[in-house]
Amino acid sequence: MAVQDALASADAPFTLLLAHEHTLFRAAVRAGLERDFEQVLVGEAASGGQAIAEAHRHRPAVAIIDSDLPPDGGVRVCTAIKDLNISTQVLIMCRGGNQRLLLHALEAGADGYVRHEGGLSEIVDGCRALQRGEAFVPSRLLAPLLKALIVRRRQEDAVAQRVARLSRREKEVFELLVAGLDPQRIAATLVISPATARTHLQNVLRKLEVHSRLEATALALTHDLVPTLSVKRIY
Amino acid sequence: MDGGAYHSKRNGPDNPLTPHVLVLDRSRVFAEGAVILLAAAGMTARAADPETGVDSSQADPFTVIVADELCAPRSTGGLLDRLLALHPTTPLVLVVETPGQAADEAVAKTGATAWVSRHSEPDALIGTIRGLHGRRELLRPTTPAPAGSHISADRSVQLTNREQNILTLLSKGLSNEAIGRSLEISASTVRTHVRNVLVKLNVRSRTEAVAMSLHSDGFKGSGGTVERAVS
Repeated sequence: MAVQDALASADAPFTLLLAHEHTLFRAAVRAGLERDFEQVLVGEAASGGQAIAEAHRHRPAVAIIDSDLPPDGGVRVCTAIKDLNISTQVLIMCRGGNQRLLLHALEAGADGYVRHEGGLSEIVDGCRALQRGEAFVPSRLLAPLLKALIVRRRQEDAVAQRVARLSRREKEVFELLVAGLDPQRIAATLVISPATARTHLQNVLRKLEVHSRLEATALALTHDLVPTLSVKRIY
Repeated sequence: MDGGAYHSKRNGPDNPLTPHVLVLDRSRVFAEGAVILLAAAGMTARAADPETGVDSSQADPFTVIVADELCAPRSTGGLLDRLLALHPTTPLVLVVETPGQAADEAVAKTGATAWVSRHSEPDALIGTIRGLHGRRELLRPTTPAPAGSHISADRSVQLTNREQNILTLLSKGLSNEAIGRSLEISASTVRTHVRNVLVKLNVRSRTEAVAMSLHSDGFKGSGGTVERAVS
């Protein structure tokens, strides 16, 4: 039984989905993949919608998604394919080693990242790594990526510590601020005087080490703090 | 970039029937894949990095160059200018994002020979390359030398890209002034180029020159507007 399974998987062609806007590009990459893989079936898509439909229909082992895929970019498509809950793994293909894009892709659930500069060999290496169950990040991007992740982690710890300084009331005021209420309405909502509301706001700004209500709001949105404040949101 | 790994020797660059193509593109993935596509179509091809590959291209007898329109904009006097300086008579195909008039203008402005759209099928690129390669061959003089005279063996008629452009516009029936406006050069410069074309093609009039270019197998239509060519 085990031997039969092994033989079956060895014979089964490797199914790939290639998503890129340009016909000529897809044809060129297809030629390269068909040359480098023993047996490969390459499906194509020219847009995000097509890519998701193709993935859903054919369940390719790997989907190679260009980061500039119209209409909304490849990272969105990656999220959508992951949301389908199929076994398809996703490689995002980008120009250059853009840190932010790499992080963005990984957060969207991408299983790997390949670059135009890496040539066909990087795509082949990426596909083979995914076949083995590994993630794939081009080695020269790995060190900067790890550093960026550590820096990000430290920033979040720092922000979390500052939020922890807020009293319960101050958290309530903060959340209403982020929801877009002005001091008058915050006071009315919490049934406190406007002067008290303003005092709370000043304390929030001070403890969070920001200089304005706008900065405080930006901080909350950037670091996704709202769920941690656990106060019912009133609009 | 090691272009050698993808250099197909099936027909060999010495075979005059085989286009020998240089591919330059910002995407190394595309360039390498294109080389394989062209090899499968019976050509030999090499990919080169737009930044460094221009200089190393000198030694290789490419018959057609395929270049990414956006490799280096003309205004920075970059890649395309250097390519054309090193290979003035080698046909250059621009790979463009937007087909149609914008592409025509890009070809005219940069001094390239033809364009192919990224949205087209590979056949368009392959056909265009074959057509350009074939046309180069056809412009060599094939009539035997008259008795008592001698044509040296290495005299071959090669039009520069600029001269090709002008021949193309001539075959559309444009006057010298209209050509000048289209290419943003003076009418007298156009006249000089036309004169050189007539000398090189060994014909006595513009009409003859146009007839000669239209008789070549490679093209339906003119170099500047070819998206598809009969192969």
